[in-house]
Amino acid sequence: MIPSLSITPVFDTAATGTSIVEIVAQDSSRYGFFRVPPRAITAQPATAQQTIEEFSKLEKNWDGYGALPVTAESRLFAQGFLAVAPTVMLSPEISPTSNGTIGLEWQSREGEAYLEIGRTRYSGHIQPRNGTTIYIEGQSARLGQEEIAVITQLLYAASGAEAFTNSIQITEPTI
Amino acid sequence: MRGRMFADRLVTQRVDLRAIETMIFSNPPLVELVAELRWLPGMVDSEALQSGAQSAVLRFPLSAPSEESFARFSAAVGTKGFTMSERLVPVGFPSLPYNVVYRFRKPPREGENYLYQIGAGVFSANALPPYRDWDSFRPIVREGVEALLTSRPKSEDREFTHVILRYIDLFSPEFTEDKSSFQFLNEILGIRVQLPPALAEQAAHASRIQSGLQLSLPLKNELSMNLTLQEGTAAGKSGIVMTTEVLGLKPTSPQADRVMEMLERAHTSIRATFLGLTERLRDKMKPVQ
Repeated sequence: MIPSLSITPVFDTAATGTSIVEIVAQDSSRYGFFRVPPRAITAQPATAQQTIEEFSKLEKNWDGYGALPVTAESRLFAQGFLAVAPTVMLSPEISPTSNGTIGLEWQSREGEAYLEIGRTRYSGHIQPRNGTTIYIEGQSARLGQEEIAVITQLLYAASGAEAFTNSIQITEPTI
Repeated sequence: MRGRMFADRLVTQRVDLRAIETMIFSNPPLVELVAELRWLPGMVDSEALQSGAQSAVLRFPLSAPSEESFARFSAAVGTKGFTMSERLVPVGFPSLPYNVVYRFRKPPREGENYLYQIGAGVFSANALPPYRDWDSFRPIVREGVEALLTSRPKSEDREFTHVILRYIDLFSPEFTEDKSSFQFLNEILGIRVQLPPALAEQAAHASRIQSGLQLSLPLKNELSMNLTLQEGTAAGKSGIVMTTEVLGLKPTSPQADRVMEMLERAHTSIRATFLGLTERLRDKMKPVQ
């Protein structure tokens, strides 16, 4: 069977968050426009979700240097975080670490960000190309919209990258 | 020789722009103008602040926006006549970074339609029609920025990560003369979008082709421009919505002069862009000066 393909332009409302005038799409099925909420799960995070799921197969000493297996909690929190991340953030580089945590790394024209998600806590940094390095930390279970807002603002605000981002979903027909 | 002629033409163009620099329009397509500041919300590590280090620590969850700082801002803008306030996020509800919490307006008064908005890590001064010109809006922005600088909590008293000026224009049928968006971009705004033969040969007619544009344009002076043109509806009217946004690529010191300087540069850039793109619409916009 041939999978169906749908391409939906996605726009982050953050860029016009302070506008008080209501702006909507003339035809949102054809043009993504303002006020279209980011989709929760897209092809990129879906791929990311699978990548993280694959980490469950890593056994102790998976790197040959005594690495710990990636914990189920780390996988769960990383998957939960990526599920709510808007597509403007694009797909991060995802890697297991020898501590049993998961590393997520984003790069944009405006800088880079790194998060290491562990069983109970996460830490990381945001390095804007111009400006102060921001170290961030918190509880893995609460990782979510606040972190997304700050990373998105510092890495993607100037590029208007959301305007070029499409969410591409490839789904198997149900019949 | 050819290069010199081109340079001469540019100079002539500049002179022309200078001549219309003070031009204002009685029928502009402007829907909204927003001057916006963003900074890192929440508690930033105090040691980093004191040492002036090149790094800072943000601990999540971020501390809730300080009601005290909102109250200070409210008092400050209240003295300037912005006495009407509206809370957009109910008390006790979580406020996400960069989301507006309060909006402040003046009591209804003929000829002015400005407002301020403030939230976690965000401030904006907005101008709505009837909008006269930047000269009228500039002092409103400055007073808002000054009020913000005196009201932010010490823990957030850092540089602005983004200073943004955004114009939203709507080209209604009055301006487009019912041209398709494809024609409007090409024939009116002068943005050449050419279809390759593979598409042009199949297209029924240019008047039915819909087209949009999204540009992210790093500028020469450490600014960046995002220009979007799409069909849409704004403020209840349909047409082609043009959003022109210019922002600084480097953080801006938390001083009113520095912020205004950045906004002036952004305004100069947006004005040149607008005047250049809308040259063929000038009569419809009714210049009055």
